[in-house]
Amino acid sequence: MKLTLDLDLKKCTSCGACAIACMDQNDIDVERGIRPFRTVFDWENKTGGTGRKFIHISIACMHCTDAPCVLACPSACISKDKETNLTVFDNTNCIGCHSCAMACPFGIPSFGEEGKMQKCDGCAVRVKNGMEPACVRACPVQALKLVDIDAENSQTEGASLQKLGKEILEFQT
Amino acid sequence: MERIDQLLKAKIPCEETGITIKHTICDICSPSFHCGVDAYVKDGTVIKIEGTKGHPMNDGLLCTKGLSNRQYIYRKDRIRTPLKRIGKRGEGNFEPITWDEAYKICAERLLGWKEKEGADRVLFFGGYTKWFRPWLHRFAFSFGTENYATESSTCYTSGLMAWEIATGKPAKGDMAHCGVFLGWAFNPYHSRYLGGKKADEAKKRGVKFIIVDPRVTPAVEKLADIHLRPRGGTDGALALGMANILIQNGWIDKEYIDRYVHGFDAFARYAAGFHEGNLEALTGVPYEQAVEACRMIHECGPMAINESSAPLAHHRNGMQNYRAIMALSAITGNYDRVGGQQPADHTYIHQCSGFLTREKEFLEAVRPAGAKKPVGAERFPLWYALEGEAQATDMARQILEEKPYPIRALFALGLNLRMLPDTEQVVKALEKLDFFVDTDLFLTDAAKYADIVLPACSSFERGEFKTYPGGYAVYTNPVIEPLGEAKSDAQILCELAGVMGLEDDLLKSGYEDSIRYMIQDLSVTVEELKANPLPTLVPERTPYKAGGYVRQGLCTKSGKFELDSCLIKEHPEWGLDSLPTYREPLSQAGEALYPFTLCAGARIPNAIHSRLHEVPWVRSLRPYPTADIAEEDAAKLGICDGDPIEIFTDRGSIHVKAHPTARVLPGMVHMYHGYREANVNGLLNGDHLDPYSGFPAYRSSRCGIRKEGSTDEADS
Amino acid sequence: MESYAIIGFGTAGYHAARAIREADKEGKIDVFSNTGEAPYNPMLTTYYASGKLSYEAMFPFGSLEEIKRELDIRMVSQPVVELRAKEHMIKTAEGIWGPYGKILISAGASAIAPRIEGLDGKDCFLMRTCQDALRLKKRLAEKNVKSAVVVGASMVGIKVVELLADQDIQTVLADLAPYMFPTAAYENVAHEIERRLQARGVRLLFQNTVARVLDGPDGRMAVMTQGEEIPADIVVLCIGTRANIGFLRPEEIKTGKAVIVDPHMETSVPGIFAAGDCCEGNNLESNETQIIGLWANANYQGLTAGNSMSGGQKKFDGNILHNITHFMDMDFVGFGDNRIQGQTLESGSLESGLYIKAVCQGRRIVGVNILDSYRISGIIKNYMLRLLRGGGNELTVFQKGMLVQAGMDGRFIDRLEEAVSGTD
Repeated sequence: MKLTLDLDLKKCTSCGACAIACMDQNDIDVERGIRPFRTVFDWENKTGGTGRKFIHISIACMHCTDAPCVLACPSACISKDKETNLTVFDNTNCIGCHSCAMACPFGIPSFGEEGKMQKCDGCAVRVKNGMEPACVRACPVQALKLVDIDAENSQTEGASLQKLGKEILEFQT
Repeated sequence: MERIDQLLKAKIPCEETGITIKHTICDICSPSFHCGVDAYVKDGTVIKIEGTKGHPMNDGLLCTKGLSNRQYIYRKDRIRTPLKRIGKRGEGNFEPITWDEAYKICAERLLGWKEKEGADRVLFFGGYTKWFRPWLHRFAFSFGTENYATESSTCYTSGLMAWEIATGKPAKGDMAHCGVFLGWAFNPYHSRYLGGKKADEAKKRGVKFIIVDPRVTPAVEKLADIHLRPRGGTDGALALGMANILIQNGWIDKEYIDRYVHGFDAFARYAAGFHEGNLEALTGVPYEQAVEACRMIHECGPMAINESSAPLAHHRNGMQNYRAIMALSAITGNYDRVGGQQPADHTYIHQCSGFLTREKEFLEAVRPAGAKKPVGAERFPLWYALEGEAQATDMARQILEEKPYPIRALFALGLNLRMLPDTEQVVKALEKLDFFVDTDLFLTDAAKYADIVLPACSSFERGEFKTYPGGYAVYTNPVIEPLGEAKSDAQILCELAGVMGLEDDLLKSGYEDSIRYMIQDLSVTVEELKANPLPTLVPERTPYKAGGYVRQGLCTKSGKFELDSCLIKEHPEWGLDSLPTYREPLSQAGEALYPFTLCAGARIPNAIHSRLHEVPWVRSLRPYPTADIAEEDAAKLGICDGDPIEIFTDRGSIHVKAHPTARVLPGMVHMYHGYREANVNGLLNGDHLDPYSGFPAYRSSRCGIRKEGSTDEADS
Repeated sequence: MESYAIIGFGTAGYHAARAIREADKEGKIDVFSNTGEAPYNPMLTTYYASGKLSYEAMFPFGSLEEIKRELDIRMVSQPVVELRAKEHMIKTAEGIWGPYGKILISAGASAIAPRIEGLDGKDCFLMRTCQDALRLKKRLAEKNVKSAVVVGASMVGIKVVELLADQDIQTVLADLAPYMFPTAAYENVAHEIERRLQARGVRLLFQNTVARVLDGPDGRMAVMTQGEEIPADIVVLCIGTRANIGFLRPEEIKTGKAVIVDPHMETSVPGIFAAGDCCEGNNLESNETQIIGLWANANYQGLTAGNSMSGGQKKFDGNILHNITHFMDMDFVGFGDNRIQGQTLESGSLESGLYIKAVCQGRRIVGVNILDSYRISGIIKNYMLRLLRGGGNELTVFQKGMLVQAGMDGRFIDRLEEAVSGTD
């Protein structure tokens, strides 16, 4: 089982429900400047260019199979969960060097008050206890899904954020 | 990390963690929702929430706003005790007092004015979220006055009145069975989110969507087969134009009209004035697009239309526009049919659940005889004729002018200063009052003007009765103890009635007994409802019977769907039109100084009025008050994304950030309301109101914008 | 059954062993390491010395015992005297080992430690190994260090300065270079960092270093090459590192400053591989081999080497120079070669918030400095790599969105895309 979170770009409306559910789940203290794990925004293509004019994004850790952050962390705080393949962390020894941020092509790692890295762990413990990740549970338009990339038909029907992410990762070291 | 620490961190409800899930409801938005909430509770504290799966309303979901409940109920500015003002009005200096003291002061002052000048000198006001309304209303009646106003003076009621004029009761669009959905002002993904789920399902079934909205919203992106973009407030002209197209092409249901519609000929003659020659000029919508939309309505019916509480109503022509839109349902035979617009009765606090309670009797039984006409009744006679209560948009004027009579005291639950136009005027009125009590969860800016502030509790801290569509009712149990000494609004009213010695035993006997009275005709009891954590199906529910209402005869003077209102016609002294006539949303005056149309309140998904602006989680999604303006306008004024701009009217100005976007029409400025630091409603003239409903024209008034620091007002 | 030898057990060696074990459950793996320590991270030494990490935390993959068990390896705790590359044999002080099927050279690098006249060993420090960290920590615990001179305005140097300054030790940072982070920073960025350091009480001396040390009446003084004498209870040398390749025969195996490898991490001798700080991999910008002594790079190289050694086909086509240094509440990020000139784009403010400078040349971004925004660093680095590796020259929407969310001006993104879209 190789789980990851995927977003159907055609369904998302950037309402932000997922982000709030995530903050509630993870007790994010935004007043103290802690950056939430999930970022939601509405992007408008100004230049014309390729693709659609309006795009809604909700993005948190992409749970890459070969996650660059895992190799980048000097303290080995980040790892792939054996059971779920989600990218989990134990920041006890995090030194706040921000190397994981430099390794992440999606701009994901956030840092808590003590300067220690924190990020979406796919609600791995919830998942192992038979529950959905908080964001997936909250998404009112079923745009966010927990998918098994090993399973057949794992591809999100519409426009998959994971697919876009994969194209980016090809070039990453 | 140890297993138990992992479980605790992940908030897994189980024996090991001691976390339990308790059911309550969300009370952040309108009672037409109040979704089921699973509260994760540990040691008496809510540590996380989710939507309740299997709940007939929301089946596991919650919206952006509802998901912030934990921070909302634990907001740092929650009031924990009754407060007595010790500083000047508005300063915010209070001292804690006991409930006994608070009740005693309220009783003395309110009864004092009643004795001295009469019960009508006291105005009762109910703000969001309406759940306590029957008790406040009854309290006012038992006190002896009709001076009861609510925040529905600026929300929902305008549309309701339009339906009452036409059919005598509220109506609902049957999206579940329609062939084409006329989504007028329909963007459920960012407001009324459950409609989004239904719309997605309808889209999948092949339902055609016509979205009418000046903005390009997610609903336009995801649903629209046709998108009509009228300039704000020109909806009536567009609807009349479409009516004319339908009539001219014979795309109407003649037989239905003959049997069930009153005033068709007059309406058709009037609508004929909106045609190929002027429609685009009036509305900005190309005539051909309107024809395409009408063709779709004709070919893909039945047609259901979106019911809108605010965006269509917030124009000085709002109610007439609404009537014109709903006329499309009548002339195409789509009223009272499967897949069309269906009549419904309010079961309880604006919720139509398919059965009846004695909510109305609970009030009418104690309506005071010989009370003076309430605030706003003279100025908005149609409002008073249909609603029988005060119109709050006239409150500040009457307090300040003392005409037709003075108001000395205000007893409010959840008054929001910024729900009314011209905030400065409202503040002056509050300052003038002899006595002002406000009840709220938070020390709001309105509460700061009060003499006494009473601490209300949230839905998590109380038990309450509630009904849902589909025939459901629930009676929740509190999931946590009230914070501090907070009490439920209804409990406060019932207790105060006791202290004041009102002659109203039912009210004084408390909330629960009042519910017993209201549900006495149902075969479910309070005890049974309380024992069921999820809503219970009420056996008395009756399914919708297509065409039943039109065949039996409507509750209007003519017994038919009135395109031409008999009620209005009977009252020429009101100076109102019996047909859904159209007039321009903006006056010509001030065009040179204020060339933009300000639309205050266009919904964003993370706010509702001002109640969530101080909740850090949702606020973090859009930290700065921001106005959406058209890219073309931004380019002309040299404004870039994130630039500080000033929005100004003759009432003043606010400072916000600009967001140039292709989502909005040139010439329009969309600004969300309720921000303390950028109060857009304060920019509105308090007299820029709809004479039919008394509603403020929030969504169309004149304004100017300029880049901060630029001095040239007429930048071009 | 295949046999493998790994010479040196830092993170490159460890990752190679992991990759080998993943592909070959049976093969025999001998690891030659005479430190007696588990793989550790030189980057963590200053954190241990400053008390932010425990001693055990310097070993991110656990103890040697745990690793031995996990990867089923045999430790040979003897210094390697010589690698007989062509014969695949290893000579230690106590004997000859091999021949091995595949050998990995992952001996790492050592700090350069020039002798300074007048300075006894006790008060001269390096900052590379666990032992270095232990020594410095012990010395500082004596509580009598009032002044220090740190030589080397490098990433390590600055962390040492930070830890000394945190203990209110009067600290001077000296370097022969003309400004801070000479191999990574653009001059204007360097000067801003210097300004901030000075504001925090750190004295900076450039084009200057410690010539010798004197014990005078006012305590120990460092005599600088420009003549000044400054108090220096201790001197810490963070001058740089040198690859540990003394046990190789240059005539047998191709070396420059380190062992030269191909994209499979194989050296000029078939079956002999190298990874980590003792090897020169490809620099994607120059297409020349170069030591890129970075933790993540060593890990990629180790994994690639281990994969190749156990029959895999993985390639690692190289990297760019990239650094992020978080110190004294600021972030300095440097990508690429700061010597290459080109079209220069800037956005934000040096003084506060996010600042970025990007130098573009020939449809590539050749160098970047970022100040105070770790958030944008990963996306910008990814974009640089993508351009170098022939990916599209448009940032994806969600990357653009994340940059704007992180505070970057959207117009800068347009300019950057435009700069790398021109024809050349």
